[in-house]
Amino acid sequence: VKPHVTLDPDVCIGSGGCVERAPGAFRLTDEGFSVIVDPTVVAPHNLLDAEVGCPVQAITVDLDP
Amino acid sequence: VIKPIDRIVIVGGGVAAQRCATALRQLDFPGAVTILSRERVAPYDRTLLSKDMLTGKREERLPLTPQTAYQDKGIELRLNVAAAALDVAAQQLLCTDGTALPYDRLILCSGGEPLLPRSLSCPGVLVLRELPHIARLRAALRAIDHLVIVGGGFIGGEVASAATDLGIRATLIEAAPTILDRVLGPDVGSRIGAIHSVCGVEVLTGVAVAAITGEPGLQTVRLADGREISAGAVVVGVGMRPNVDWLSDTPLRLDNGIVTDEYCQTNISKVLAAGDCARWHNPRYGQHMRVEHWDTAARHGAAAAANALGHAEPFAPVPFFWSDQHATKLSWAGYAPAWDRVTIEDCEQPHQFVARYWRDDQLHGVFASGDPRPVARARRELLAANNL
Repeated sequence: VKPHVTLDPDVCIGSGGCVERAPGAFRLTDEGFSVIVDPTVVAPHNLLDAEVGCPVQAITVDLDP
Repeated sequence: VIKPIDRIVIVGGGVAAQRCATALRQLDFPGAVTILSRERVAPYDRTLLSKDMLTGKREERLPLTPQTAYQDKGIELRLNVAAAALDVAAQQLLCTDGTALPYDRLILCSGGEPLLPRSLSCPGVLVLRELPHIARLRAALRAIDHLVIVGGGFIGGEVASAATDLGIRATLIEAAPTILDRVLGPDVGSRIGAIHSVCGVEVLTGVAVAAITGEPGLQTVRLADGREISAGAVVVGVGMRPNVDWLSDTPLRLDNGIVTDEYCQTNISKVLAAGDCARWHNPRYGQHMRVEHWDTAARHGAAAAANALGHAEPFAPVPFFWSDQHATKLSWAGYAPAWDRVTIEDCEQPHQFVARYWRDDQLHGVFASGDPRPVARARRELLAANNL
């Protein structure tokens, strides 16, 4: 099952924590904000770490949608 | 002939060090990268120590990047070893395990340690910054029914919040007229104090702590007005100091941190600094500053990597921080050491509001209790306003 990941662009402050914890699932744009690329390229626990570590709780992860 | 950069050594085990190493690889640096950390484990998220890890909602530390990322990117992690001395002439770092680490570029991200003034120093007194601290604090919280927190800053507030979550009586003591007074002013400080009070924290403000006595398990806090409060444990959260003592006999310029220019460059060639230990010139504000925020430290580490490789990227962030207290998110964007006006806009939910800090009718900072959207929006506006 493909995990369902959302990212609220109005809350993101571009701290980059998700890019470090789930590289390839997220990336920073040239403007310095995070976008979802492909959540399937990392282990599920990396996605959960990205969710927990987001300082503004902009990310939600549902591993079993 | 310009000597190529073959070896970059990063001192520190926090987010600045970790981001610095990652950024070096993102910038295609092909040489050796070594992180030297006095901690026993790979860089982890310290911000959760005073939040979910204190309540036990989360047991395990949160790595800043998967362990495999260090191997994959060819980043050497030397753990449980501290930097003992720096020989700038020989371009090498002497480590506590007796080894010497030569470098072509050295990036100091040595962080800081909790301040513990002598009057508050007493066997058993607890502080919170690194993993060993949280083990002691959690063990104490399991054994006591009353915790005193000295210092009404963000860490103190988070510890008080965690204690009440665990059903432990918490007393928060702040010398200023309100908690968070110095950072946010009395109006906002008293509002955050009210959140604590409503949630069961006993908030004592306007009174300093004269001394702490006792031993682990039973301690007494004596206030400047003569009152005495006994508790099972005392946590002191009155700020931090940059971890730079080990550099005092080097020619490195130290002044409340390692002083650098806007390119993270110290006064010593090939030595850069970033994160909590660095006081750098922020060109956005035209002044030197040392900022103890996780987000700023992360960006600082990446900026130091770029500058170590000669990219000449000025580090000009708009500071941002957040805190979680009693299920309320607090967040801030901006830099406002002084202001002449604060406007407060109440939201529909109780205790939720947005405060804006102005000077000469210019917005310098935004604080939100509750929804962080206004802060995220303000951060973008402040970043766009280069005229500051």
